[in-house]
Amino acid sequence: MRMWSGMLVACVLAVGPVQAAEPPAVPNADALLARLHQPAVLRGSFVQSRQIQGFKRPVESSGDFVVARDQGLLWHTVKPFESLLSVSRERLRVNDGSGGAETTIDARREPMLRTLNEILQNVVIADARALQLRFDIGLKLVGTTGWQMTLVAKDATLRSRFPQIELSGDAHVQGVRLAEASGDVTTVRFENQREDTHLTEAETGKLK
Amino acid sequence: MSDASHSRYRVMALAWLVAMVALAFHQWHMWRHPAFSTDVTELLPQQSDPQLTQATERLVAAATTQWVVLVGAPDWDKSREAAAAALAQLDPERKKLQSSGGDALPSGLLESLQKSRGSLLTAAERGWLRSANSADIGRRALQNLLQPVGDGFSSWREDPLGLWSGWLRERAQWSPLRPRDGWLWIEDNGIQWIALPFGESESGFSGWSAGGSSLKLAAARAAVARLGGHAQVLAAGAVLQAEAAAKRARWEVSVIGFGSLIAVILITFITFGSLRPILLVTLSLTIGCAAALSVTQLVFGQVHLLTTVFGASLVGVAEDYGIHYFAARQGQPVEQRWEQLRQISPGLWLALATSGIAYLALGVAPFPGLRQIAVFSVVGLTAAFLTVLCWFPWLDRKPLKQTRFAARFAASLDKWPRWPHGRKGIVLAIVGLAVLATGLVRLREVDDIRTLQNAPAAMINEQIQVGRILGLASPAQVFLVSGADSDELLRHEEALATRLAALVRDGTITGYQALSDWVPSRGTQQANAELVANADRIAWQAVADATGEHIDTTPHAPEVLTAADLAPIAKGLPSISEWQDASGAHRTLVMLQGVARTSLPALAQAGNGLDGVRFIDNTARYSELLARYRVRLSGLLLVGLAAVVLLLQWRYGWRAWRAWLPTILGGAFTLAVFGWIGIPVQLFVVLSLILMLGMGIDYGIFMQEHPGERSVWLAVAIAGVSTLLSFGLLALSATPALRAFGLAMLLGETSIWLLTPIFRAESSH
Repeated sequence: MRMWSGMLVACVLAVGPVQAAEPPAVPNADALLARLHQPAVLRGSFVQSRQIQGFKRPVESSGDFVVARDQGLLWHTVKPFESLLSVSRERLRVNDGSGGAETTIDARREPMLRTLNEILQNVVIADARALQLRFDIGLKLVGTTGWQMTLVAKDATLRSRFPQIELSGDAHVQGVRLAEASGDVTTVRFENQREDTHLTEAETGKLK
Repeated sequence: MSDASHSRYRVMALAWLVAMVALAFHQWHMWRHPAFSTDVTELLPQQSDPQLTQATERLVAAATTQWVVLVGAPDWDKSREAAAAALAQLDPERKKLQSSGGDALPSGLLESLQKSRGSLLTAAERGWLRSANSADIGRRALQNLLQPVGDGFSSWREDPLGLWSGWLRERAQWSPLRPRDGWLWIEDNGIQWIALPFGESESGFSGWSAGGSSLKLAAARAAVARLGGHAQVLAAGAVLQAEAAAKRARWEVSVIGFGSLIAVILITFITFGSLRPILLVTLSLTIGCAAALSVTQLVFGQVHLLTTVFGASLVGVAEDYGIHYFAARQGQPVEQRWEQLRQISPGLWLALATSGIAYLALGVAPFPGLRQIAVFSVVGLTAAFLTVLCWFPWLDRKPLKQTRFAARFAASLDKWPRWPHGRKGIVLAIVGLAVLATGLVRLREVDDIRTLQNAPAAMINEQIQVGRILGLASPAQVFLVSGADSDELLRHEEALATRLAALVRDGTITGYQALSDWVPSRGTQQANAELVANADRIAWQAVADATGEHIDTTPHAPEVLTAADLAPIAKGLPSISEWQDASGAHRTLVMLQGVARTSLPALAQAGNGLDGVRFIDNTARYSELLARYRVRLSGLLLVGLAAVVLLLQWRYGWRAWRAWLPTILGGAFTLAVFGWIGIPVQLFVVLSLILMLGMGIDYGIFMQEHPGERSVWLAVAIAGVSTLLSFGLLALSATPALRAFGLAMLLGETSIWLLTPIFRAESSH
């Protein structure tokens, strides 16, 4: 539960101005949109590597994920052990797969969960338009199909905790690099992305 | 007239002129910066208990400076549009409303809390750590390690179980407002509300001013209404209530004051048919009211709005002297006016004395509100009387003819019915008393501080709604916690918090705000630190075993957190700050959320048997106060009644009952009517009975002093009608206590006025 409550607090603290007026257009945004697919549902697998302060080697894990626009995110870690994280508008849940303890944060108790949900979804699908409400975006086109994006939070508190998020990809996001002020760095690589129009019933159930 | 007495009158007139110049100067000064107080609690007796005084001061300081507007719609975009429109009216300088201290955890606060990381735990985590075994802790640490993101507050190694960010998240719950697109947002029942908090009203609030905040709020409401689309506005705050109270009071003063004045003018014109009496009576009233305001302000520093509303009814009482003067003058040669004044002045002095004593009786109790009213009324009556005495013969130099109306009215006394003789009279008396009894048995007493407030129901509803949506703590019920030093204070509060947490779990209350939630006592911080250090060691070991890493297991040494560290948010929030009083004791308040009437016994119970914990139920306390004074003044009323009856027996012998019986019957009739229509008896009703005794008995006295004298009957009757009207207009007041008072005076005075001639002596002709 550690990071989720932390990220939530960061969002809670993010009382700084989030631009509500029409933000300045991100240069190359149209070109990015032309290269990027943003389907209603995106499935794929991931390989995650976290470099923890004081650790010699990164901590690796892998699994699969589903992101559904406006609905939520399922982050299913398979290795080294089972763990399912589901984030929806209504709640955040971590289940360690052993059928044991389940931890839940309810949006009614913590409304900022919705903001967190939006940020996570938008990062995974690289929705620059949505992200630019909360982040200053630097965009670079790479080759004929690729791109790189850096996100710097507009809110000082959020920025002081998460100085920078980097995304790269082509038709889909391929890599995410998230640096924390504490020195821990998370890198995620996405593979085998598949587009779909809707979630399966089982997935919808897990997001409820 | 002899030269000696003439020169005495001249000196009196000049002396009064000097006094009036001084009065005019003070009035001019006063109205340049009018300041009237609106706080109902200022009317109540001072608390003899310094602890209560301190607690109240803290609560008042916190409550009076802030107000909040909620703008909401089912649709978030509409909410934003509405909020922007409202803000443009409320404060065009600000583009957005951000937390101005109190909506989330400011970063300055985070810095000071951070150093004590490792000794701060939520109650749930403390419970988990006590029961978790090494395997549980290891699994949780590994799971945290595998999540895609850390918490950003500390590296995984510094807080492997996420205990610190968990505590911060619980602290962030202290306000339900969350930032959303730069607004402070909260959802409630499908409505997306945007909160616009405001600090102290910039205009510098004065009870008589137009009410800057209310005007801006009205403009904001109109702007939001123009947008349509189910956008709504709710507002709450003591400033708004005070402004509404002031506006309402201003209206009432005008209605009652001018209404009575018009009535007096009309009656004077009909009776005397000349402009001069109107001008002079109005002059005496103006001087009376101005002098009353000035002296009250000089004595009390500030005049309460309730006093001015009450005082406006004085117009109908203070006119008596002028009317008595002209009633005696009417139809008499102009040269005799000095002589006539000399003849009626003993009667006028007596009338002033009885009314004055009745008003002063109100001021016997150490009850600031009643004392203000007493001083205001006595000064007003005296000034009006002195104006008649010192100035009227000088200003009134022409003959005054008797009008047909006056002649006809004076003659009406002969036709007034009498109480029947013999069996018929006895039967009528028994029936009458039986009817009165049916009302009197239904009387009930209610002592509620809220009867002194005149806030419109819609405003109170909004206040309740805003309080519910924002989870605001009510100042009505609080716990006062004390300790010899800061740490003892926190230990005492923790004992209370444990009990309150149980009440939250079973739904008795929805929450509480306590300093020890933020700053645990040293003992608790130490116990927490041991739990955390132990669990971290297990977590590091488990992850080291699983990954083969060498993890630095040096434990973090947290610093002790003190109440002073909360300074960035504690300002103006009595529940998360402590103070030291003159005796050196440390104190804090625990505020409660979602208190219902049914939760009160459990709350009172929660404080029982705990050291340094005191439950303060302000609503109950004020109501008890009103009840105590109601009982005390009821006693005063009975003593006064006995004194008056004895005095009249001494003066008039066996005939005396004709003077006092109408007053007693009038009072009984008033109470019976209150019983029938279900208006409870409260302090202000007892006050009205005291005044009824003081004024109503006058009719009886006059009828006994000058049996059958028609000019006296004319003056008494005419003066009585205007008195009735003034108090009757008070029954229009929005303040329930004044309304009950006005109604009681109207019923009582009318019945006394009608009954007195019924009981007149046979030999009156």
